Order: sequence, then structure tokens, then C-alpha cells
Amino acid sequence: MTWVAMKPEQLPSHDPGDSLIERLHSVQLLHGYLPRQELQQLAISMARPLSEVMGVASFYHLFRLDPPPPHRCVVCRGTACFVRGAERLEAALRQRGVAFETTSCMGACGQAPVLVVDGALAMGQPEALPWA
Amino acid sequence: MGVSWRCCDATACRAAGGAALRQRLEAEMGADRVKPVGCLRLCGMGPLAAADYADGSTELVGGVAGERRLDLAHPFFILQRSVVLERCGLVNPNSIEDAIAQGAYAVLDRCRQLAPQAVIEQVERSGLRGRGGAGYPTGRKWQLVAAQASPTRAVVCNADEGDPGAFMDRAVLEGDPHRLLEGMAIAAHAVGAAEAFIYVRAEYALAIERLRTAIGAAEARGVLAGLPIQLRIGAGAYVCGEETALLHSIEGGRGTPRPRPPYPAVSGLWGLPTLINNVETFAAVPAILREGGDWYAAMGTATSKGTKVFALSGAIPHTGLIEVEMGTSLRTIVEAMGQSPPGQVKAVQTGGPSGGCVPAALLDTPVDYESLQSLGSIMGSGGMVVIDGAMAMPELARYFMRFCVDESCGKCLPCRAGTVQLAQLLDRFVERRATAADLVQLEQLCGMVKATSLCGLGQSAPNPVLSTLRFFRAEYEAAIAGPIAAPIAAPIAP
Repeated sequence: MTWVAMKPEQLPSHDPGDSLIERLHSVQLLHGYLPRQELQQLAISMARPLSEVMGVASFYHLFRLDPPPPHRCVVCRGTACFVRGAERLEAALRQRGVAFETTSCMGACGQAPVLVVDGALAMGQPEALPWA
Repeated sequence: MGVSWRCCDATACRAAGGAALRQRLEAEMGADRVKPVGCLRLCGMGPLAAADYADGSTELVGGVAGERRLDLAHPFFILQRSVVLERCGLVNPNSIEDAIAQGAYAVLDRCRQLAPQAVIEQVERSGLRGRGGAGYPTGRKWQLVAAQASPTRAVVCNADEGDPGAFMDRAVLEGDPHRLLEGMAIAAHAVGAAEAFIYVRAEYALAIERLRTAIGAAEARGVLAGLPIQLRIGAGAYVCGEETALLHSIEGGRGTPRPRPPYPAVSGLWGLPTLINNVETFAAVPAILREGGDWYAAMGTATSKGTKVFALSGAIPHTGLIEVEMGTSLRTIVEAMGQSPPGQVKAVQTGGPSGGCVPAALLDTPVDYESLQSLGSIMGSGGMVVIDGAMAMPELARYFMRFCVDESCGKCLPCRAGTVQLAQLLDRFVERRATAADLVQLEQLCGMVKATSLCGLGQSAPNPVLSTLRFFRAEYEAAIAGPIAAPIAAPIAP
């Protein structure tokens, strides 16, 4: 039976602790990614099949199933950043051999192009990278 | 010497070095004369700080050393009409005392004395339409949820602002979070909801922090009258901005949309009748209930009432946040407020990956839901990216199509496979190896994906292609002819 078909008095609890996504966030905060055995543990403790837990974990872009690199660099590919040369920024990073990920939009379009270095937003000069 | 400083402490100014500017001011003036506030609008000149003098005058400066004096008499500032953002930039977003001192929750107290129907009637009179992009009449939606036979209902705020180039909701969340909570509590009273959720994207770390602080403070002071407001954090899926996908995500599952009806107003979260509105919609509610629906309806055009917040960015000198009356022309926004020299703009992109490009020749178009739609673009949530001559339109279309390829949830075939095929076709135009048959196929496929996709993401994914085809067809045709000398063709007047 799906939740949609349930009557209100049968509703499951709406606590954040009952939300799989919230719990995946907690695991990732602790480990930096979602280790396989943690996912198995989560499936057991929530009495849900592992396939469902994996299904949710793999659906969302921000959940990582592998350990992250020591430094993280994320280049914004938002429209404003694209118009203001995010591709040139990416090329510069590639030239320096910096591994980076991309994201759709950080919402800091006034500063475009931008990138995020170890969680801190920086304006898009390659020199902003501490290890470059 | 009675001067006090307001320092912008929003994401954009933080990135530009806002902390250094604030420390400098605190060292010079004393910490009690400097307070952090939300967005001061002109993000591109950041970090920003405003000085309020004892004689009532105000000065705005930008730069880490406060080296740029900005002209508050510039059209960028004086053409703004702040309703949703009326406290943003004035109030300390981390202080509920400051918010209450500036009027927060007063309207909620008054609304509780009113019958729910009376509250809904004011919202209906205001003519407010959904600010998330679709423009559904807000009052009608509230009426529909309130009319459902159910012992309880839910209120959900869509703060999954995913359109690239849009940061209106972030400004509200970071700059005046109590306004959103008040708007949601008024909505909960009006529709008879017992619980409320805010679904915010995980990328907005500062907004999440401010919301947590605000919810904690509001609950501790009891201003929400027992309405539990829960924060749910997304995990990086653009499709979760679609309302049924968002509900699945709050329930803890994969964020895939489902066919409507039933609409969430009838069967939403866990089957409950659910009111879903966007951040900006809820944030407009306190002002509407305070001043009356007619006051709000007096602003704007015949079908699009009130004000709208836009995120102005791209190839333009003044980038930042503006709130203007509906019906303001794109030319006023881009040339007067954005200070773009006449003739430099090639097009204005509105509505993100679901929207389209309005060419420079049509800049006199008033910004309202119907006018933009008639041009093949949409109002969308309010992202406005200015494109100059350096950008080739097939490339821009491919950029948005690749975005849709990445963000398609994979549930329905037209969107999952159609966007990939469209992106590959666009590759040929960008690389100038297209054939005449490709152009025919591109248009046919756009029509098919638009007509047969399950949710708004797929249905609107072809819009950037169709709109650039409509106004800049010559650029696509030039890609068929093979390499040519002049890379950019002039836009065709309609």
C-alpha cells in the first residue's frame, strides 16, 4: 500500500528522523560520503529494502557513494557564470591539473563566475585555489 | 557622529569579502554600530555596506575597503518597489527581536482574529499569482485546499530554487527569514493546516542556517502559535522544484514527479490536502494582509498584479537583485537599472531552462506573465540573464539542453531520451556541421518532447531552443551552410 492510499489516521510519523534523505545527509556529514555498510545498516534500521535506500542515495546529485578527494573544488555552471566565462575557468583548472566537480547554480550570480573551494564560495579566478 | 552601519551578510557579498569589510567597520566604529543584514541589492559591486546617519540620510559603499561610493539616486535603486524585500537589507536576519521591532508577526496576530475565509478573500482580491513560475492564482489555490474535506492539511514552501541564474528566494531566506515563517503561518491559519514544511535546496547552506535559527527563535517565543514548521533539505535534484517530485522528496523517496491530477491541493504529502507555494509567494502575504488586497492589486498590470523580484545577472554592469512593479519594461530594467549601454544587449533570457530569450528588438515588452508567454518565454521564478553579442544562440540553447539532460529524472521516455537527442542535434549546430534535415528534426523533436513529457521539466525543456529558433533562426541556418567568416548573425526582428 502506498502512502497516498492511506487514511490520515494511519499516517506514519513525520519526524525528520523518519526521513531517509535526512538520515543519508547525517551519514554523509559524518563520513564525507555514504559507505556501503552504513547504507546496509540504515536499510535494516528503517526496515526498508537496501535497493530502496540505494535508489534514493543514487538519485540525488549531492550524495556521494565514493570517498571524496582531500580538497574539493566545485565550479558553478549557472547561466550567469556560463555567460561570464565559466568554461574558460574550467579550462584553466584543467590546465593546472586541478580535479573539480561542477554544479548547476550557486545563486551567487552577481559575482559570476564563481567556484566553491572546500565549502567556501570564491570568485572565479584560478588563483583563488590555495593549492594551485 | 550618530552613524550606524548595515553590512550585507548574504552569500554573494560574503564571497566578495564581506567579512573583511565588516571587521574593518567594527574596528573603526565599534561592534555595536555595525549590524549584519540581508541583500543590499547591487551584488555585483559587493561587498556592500550602508551607513545610516542621524539626520536620516543614507549612504551606500562597496568594496572590501568601502572604496566605492554608490549612488542611491541611481535608477537601479529608485525604480525599485520593495514589498517582498521591504525588510531585506534593514533587518538583522539572525535576530527575531529586530524582526519583531520592524513589524514581523504583527500581521499574523491580526489574521488570527479573522475568520480563515476573510484571510483567503484578501489574498484573492490582491490578484497574487504563484511566483514559482506557473502563475496560478494564489487565492484560488488556498480556497481549493481549504475546501477539502479532511481533518488536517499541510502547508509546504518550495524553496528549491534551482533555475540557474535565479537567487530571489535565497535573498528572502538569507535576508528576512521571519517574513517567510509569518507568511506560512498565515497560510496555515487560512487553509486549516496543522503542520508545515520548508523544502530548501542543500546548496543554500547559509539560507538553511538562517532558517534553522529563525524557526528555533520563533518557536521559543511562541509566535507561531504551535504550528510546527519543519525544514527538509534537498540533495541536489533540480526536478524536485516540480511540486509532486518535491512531495516525494519530503516523504524521503526519489524525487520523481507523478501525473496530475490528483493535484497536491487534493492529495499531497502523505495523502493530505497540501498547499504548496513558492518562497516569494508566501513572503508577499504579510504585506497583502497588512495593507489589504486592493492595495496590492493597485500595482502591476491587468492580469499580473503587485511586484516581482528579479535576479539580474549576465553581461551587464549592474548585477543584483531588483523588485519592481509588474509591467515594468525589460528596457527599463536592463538599460536604466542595469545600466547596459543601448545596443549592447543581444537578448534577455528569462525563466531559466524552462524559459526563452527575448531579443533586443523587443526590449519594450512589459514584464508580466502573458507578455513573456506570448514571446515564447516565461516569467519563471525571476532569473534574468542578459546576453551580449559574444554569445552564439545555438550554444546557449545547448547549454540549457545539457542542463536538462543532467537533471532529467529518467522517469518518462520523452524527457530522458529526447533531451539527449536534442543536445546531440544542438552539438551539430554549435560545431557547424548540421544539415537541413537536422533543423527539421530539431523542430519536430522539440514539439514531441514538449507535448509528451510527464512534468514541467520535460514539457519546457525545448523552450530555449524554440525561442532562439524563433528570434535567431539565422544563426542556426548559418551553421548548416558550413563555416562562415562572421561568427554571429544579427538578430532578426520579428
